[in-house]
Amino acid sequence: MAHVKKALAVVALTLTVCSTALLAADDSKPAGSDAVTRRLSQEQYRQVVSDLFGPSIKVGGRFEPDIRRDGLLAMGSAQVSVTASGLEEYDKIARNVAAQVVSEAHRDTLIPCTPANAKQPDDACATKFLSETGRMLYRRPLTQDELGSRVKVANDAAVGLKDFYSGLGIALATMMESPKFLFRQEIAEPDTDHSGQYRMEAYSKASQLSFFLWNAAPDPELLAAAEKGDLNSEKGLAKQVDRMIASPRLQGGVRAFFTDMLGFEEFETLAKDSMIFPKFNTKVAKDAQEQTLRTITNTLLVEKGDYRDIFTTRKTFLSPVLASVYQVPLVAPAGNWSPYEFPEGDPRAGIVSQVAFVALHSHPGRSSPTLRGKAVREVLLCQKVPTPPANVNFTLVQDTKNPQYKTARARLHAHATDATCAGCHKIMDPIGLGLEAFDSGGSLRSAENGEVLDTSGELDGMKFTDAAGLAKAVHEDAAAPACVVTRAASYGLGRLPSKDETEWVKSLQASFKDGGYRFPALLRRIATSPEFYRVSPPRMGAIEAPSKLASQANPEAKESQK
Amino acid sequence: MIPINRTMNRRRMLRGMMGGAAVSVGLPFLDCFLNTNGTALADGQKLPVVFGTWFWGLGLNPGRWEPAQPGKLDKMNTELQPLAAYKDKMNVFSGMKAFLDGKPNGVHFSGVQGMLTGTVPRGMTADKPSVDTLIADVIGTRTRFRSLEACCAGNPSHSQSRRSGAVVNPGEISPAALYTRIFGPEFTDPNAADFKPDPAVLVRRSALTAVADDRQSFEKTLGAADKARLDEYFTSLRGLEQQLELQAQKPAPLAACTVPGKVDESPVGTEIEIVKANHKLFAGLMAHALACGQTQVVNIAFSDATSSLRRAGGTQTHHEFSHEEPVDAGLGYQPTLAWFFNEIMTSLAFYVASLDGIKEGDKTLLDRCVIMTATDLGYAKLHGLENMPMLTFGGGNGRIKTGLHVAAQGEPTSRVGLTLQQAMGVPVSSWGTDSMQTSKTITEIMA
Amino acid sequence: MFRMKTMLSATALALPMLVASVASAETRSFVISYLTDGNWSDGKGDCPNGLNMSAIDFYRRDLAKAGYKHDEIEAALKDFPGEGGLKQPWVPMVATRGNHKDNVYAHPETFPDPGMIEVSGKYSYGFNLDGKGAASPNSFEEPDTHEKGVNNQLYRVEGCVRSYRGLPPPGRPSLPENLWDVLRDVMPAWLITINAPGGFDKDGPVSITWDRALERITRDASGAVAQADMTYQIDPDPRSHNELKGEIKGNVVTGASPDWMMVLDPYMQPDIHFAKMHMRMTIAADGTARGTIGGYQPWSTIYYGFADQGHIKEYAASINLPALYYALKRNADYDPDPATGQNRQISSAYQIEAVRAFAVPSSNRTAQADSDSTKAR
Repeated sequence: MAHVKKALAVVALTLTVCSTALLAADDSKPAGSDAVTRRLSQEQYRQVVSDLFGPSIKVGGRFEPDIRRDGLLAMGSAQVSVTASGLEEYDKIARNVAAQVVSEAHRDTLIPCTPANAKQPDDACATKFLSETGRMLYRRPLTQDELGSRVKVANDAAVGLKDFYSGLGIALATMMESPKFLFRQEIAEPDTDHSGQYRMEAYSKASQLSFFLWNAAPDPELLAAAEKGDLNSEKGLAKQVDRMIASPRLQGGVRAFFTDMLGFEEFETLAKDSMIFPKFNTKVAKDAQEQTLRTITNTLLVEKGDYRDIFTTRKTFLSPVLASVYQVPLVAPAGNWSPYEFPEGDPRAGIVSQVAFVALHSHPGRSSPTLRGKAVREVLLCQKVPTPPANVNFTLVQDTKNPQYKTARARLHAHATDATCAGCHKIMDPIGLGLEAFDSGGSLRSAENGEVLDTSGELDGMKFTDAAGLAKAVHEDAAAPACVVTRAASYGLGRLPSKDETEWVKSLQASFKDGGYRFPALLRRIATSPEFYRVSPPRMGAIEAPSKLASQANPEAKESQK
Repeated sequence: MIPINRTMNRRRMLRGMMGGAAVSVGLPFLDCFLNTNGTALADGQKLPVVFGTWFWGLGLNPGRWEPAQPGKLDKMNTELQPLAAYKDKMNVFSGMKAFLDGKPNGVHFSGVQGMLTGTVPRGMTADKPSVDTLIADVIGTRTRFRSLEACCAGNPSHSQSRRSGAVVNPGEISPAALYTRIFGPEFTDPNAADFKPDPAVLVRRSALTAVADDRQSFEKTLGAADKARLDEYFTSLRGLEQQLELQAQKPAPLAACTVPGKVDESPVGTEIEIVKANHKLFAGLMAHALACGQTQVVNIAFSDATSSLRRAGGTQTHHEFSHEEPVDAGLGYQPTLAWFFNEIMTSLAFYVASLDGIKEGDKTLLDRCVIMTATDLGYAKLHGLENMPMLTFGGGNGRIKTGLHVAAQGEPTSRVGLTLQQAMGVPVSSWGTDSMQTSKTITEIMA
Repeated sequence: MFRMKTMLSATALALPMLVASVASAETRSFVISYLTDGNWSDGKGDCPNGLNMSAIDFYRRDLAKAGYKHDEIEAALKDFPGEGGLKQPWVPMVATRGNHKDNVYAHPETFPDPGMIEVSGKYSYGFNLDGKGAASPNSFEEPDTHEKGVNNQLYRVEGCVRSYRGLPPPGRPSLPENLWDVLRDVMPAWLITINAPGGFDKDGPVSITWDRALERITRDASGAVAQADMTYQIDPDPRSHNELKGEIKGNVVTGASPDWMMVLDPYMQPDIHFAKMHMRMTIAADGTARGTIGGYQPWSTIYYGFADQGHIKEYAASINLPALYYALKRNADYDPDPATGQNRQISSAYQIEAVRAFAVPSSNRTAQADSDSTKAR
């Protein structure tokens, strides 16, 4: 019995949305957390190549897997390194990209100068190309030493291979393998506006901002603003933030955020039994993610709506194969996407009922109220569910052919009579049972093994009878908007907000609510907060901030770039 | 010199291995490369020793795999029956366990961490290097690849090999991709009549120095924790430099090395027929990679620890059966589980056969290997960590004895890892933490 | 559940309320996943006289009959069939085996009838086309419904050719299955729409339409069958539009039309044009359907469907084309030529398998009024 009480107490504690510990603000003690060093994700790597060299350059190869920490891949990126096989791959990918860049097809557009003799080194042209490209790759101007070392590589390689362009390609590849490209660093400098505090220096700020809003490296305009010192003034920072939020590129950034938050990378290893779910294939999996992302960006960015409406909107977008999964007729233009609105009262409302949620959180052969309930808690409400104990007795849980227990509800109920299990399953199953109308492949059904489904359930006191009701319950739950605020802040920071930042997060949540839960406004508030750029003082002695180093470096770095 | 015929018949032979029962891959034997006994290279060096791990999930059915008596391996118990042909070349260790020391049982995790790293972590994040990386640091420093990993069930994170930190060394999931990586354009045939170092390789090797030089200025701005993370990056960089160095040198000829036929793309997934098919391709590729000196450390994960293997048309995975299938009153064990274990052990037998099928003088490739199996549990139904099955295959050039059953009731599984490290030349006298710490070598198998 | 949703989605996006009087009528559409020759077999009763010999054997026989010497024949057939198209030495020999001059596939009567082992079993899929019932000469009994007087002379002709022989259900004859499998990825899909004014739950009259789609079929994750619930636009081309009157009894839909045609593909035959077309289809609980279509069709269409690929079809299917020609001619049972009396059409049947689909009017080509169902998308 004490056992159960303890379990419930643990449950109660973990259900609280955020830590209530408050520390009095202490101006004398420097605020901020230690700098995080984040490895570029596969998506970010591809985006950089596309932005820098154009979309016709192919990026092929296997990227080292990202890991998820505390609910986000963005936080896992601060924990990973590069393994031996990972570096082998980065080397291959970098050489491949570089070879395309210097190829005859691309060199005229991508290399801004011509060598005097194509069979020999040309330091002047190599310097021009490597300093301009290096600035974009390292996300800051190169130091004298950095540039010099790569120009030497280009020279040696050109001699060894008897070809300027091949040599240049090798030098470019070594930049793309450098930790200075693969990892994002946060360099600290004293904060001139708050004595005793430290902030990210300008180029680190630019990266912080750019990866947050666009999931991409800083563009030339942002780098120029960093260079001029604009990002250190409130007005200058706001100007860049507003430019970036108004840009169509915001959509890519918002998609990247939700792709992370909703755990879509699990689709890569998702398997559905093709005999039981013949409609579910990789195209469906791909389209399902696209459907959910389009639904979200349409609601939040195009219609500039309330964040909570993503859980209840009946407006979505379908492709022909998705239409077949949903069993609705659809003639889409040229076989692609078409807006679609489900009728009033249809259980297929909001992202929780969409294939990308219900199919992702199911087993290969059957649905799972527990997995779905757990996902609602952890993904959408930021509530941690305790791990199951080791010695669980699963005697009859999911024998889908058991004639006595025809539906998942029946099987789980019989199982949930055990007090030690009920404690946790109580917080998951009643949610997931509301989604039982969707089978493991995401299609609507009304019965399982011949027995009509009962899809009633409850979420923290709010009762419902079907998935549309569950959607409304999530819509009304204060934890949902609070959760997306915490996630957005963590995503941008690359770590969980620290105890000192609790007040800041709370104020973000409050203004999110007061402003009608508008997502672009939330992004703006985060991106213009000084907290977003605060770091603890650096540990290892005095460091030259790259902006300082750059000004000592070659004057080419100061020229306005492409 | 007799040129090795690298045409269609090699491909058919490899395919023959894939198609069903293990086929002994008889390969031409080039006397001119070997000493008079045919057991070593002409310049007197022994063919290098090999270490490997082979991981599967959920252990075995207790009471159905342990040999009856300790000592000489005579008769195989039911669930190890598929391996009976190799009883003289393998060892079975029974009775060993993982000690939690009061830490929570991280199901499908704590047990395998204890076995492979000597440490049962407090939470669900591992931090110690796995035994294969420790051994690779000693025996893997002179080959093109420090180690090779493959994951047969379609997810690179199923690999159990880790150097440090939270992330595993990802495994290849596509046999076609592994083929290209090993035997593709960057492969240097050790038996090729002429060898000219590729100037591009020399240039690349030299260029990487610039990347290594980035280290100093980069590390200046890192905190201590990040420094440790970036150490792994720079270790990996050294590995890449070394690969290129080796590519630039003429490799020693290896009689048993033949290039397998190109492997086509195959479907990837957790359905057991697919996993078995990919495993066969990986087994063949790894055997050839070893015979051609491309690496000396090989790690294969048949599935994830939780064993998401399933049968086509089935709604339940191997894992779910382990918890939900009742113990059959008449038989005394879980029958569907036994079916899965049989499939897994049969696949393991195929791997061993692939290694044993490559003749090297009067021995086989298997004879210079020590392949250590690993699994996550002793009794899957209850996530039990007692009596975890452990096997080794091969004698490692005579470094360990084979054909033995060691019954080590209640001992930590780390004893095996300690013993094998010592056999492989890792300077270690004690390994593991808390109750998993041991300095008791398994002397019964030490040569 | 599903049927109601079809109604809702297809017509009511702009009209959330259903009109009461329409509520009981139901329309369902299907897309053909398989179309194969309706050749029944239980492995023994259909071909008691054995099966027709394979190509290398009948080439040997025919070439001898054509006057070639034994050594010449063996040399030509040495690496049969060999690779490399017309480079095979046997090809020009067999192609002119009638009179050493004319293409025997275009002029089969230049070669004397080598004979064909025909079906002599009791059962066949198909329909009572001539209305004579059990009194119909050469008729069969339907294996599932036990209707007597089934006319299917095409089956009689080809049912004992190894590659065309039926397999016990749910098997399909192998070469027809193969041909269709290739074909359905490149040709527009075939659609059936059934309108039941009284709903599918009640026995009563139905109207059935057959059409071609604008799109090709989509396969499902298994790759073998069509993906259910895909949407296809109806091709307004009248050549493949057919309207039938029929009825539904239980879960079986039957229908008939005096004249029916669907454009197919020269890989099999350019079209199937039935006189006295009949159909029967059983709809399963999961929405899939299986059945038979049959009727009389010009046997020359069938013959040239094979012959236009000449020796390739002959050796791939092991079907002797002159023999086929004579057998079709001999067994044709309808529509005599007024001048010669030779029957020009032959009774035939095909097995069909279908899955649920949405068939919608093609939006930009037809003047059809009801495009509300496509507007909201």
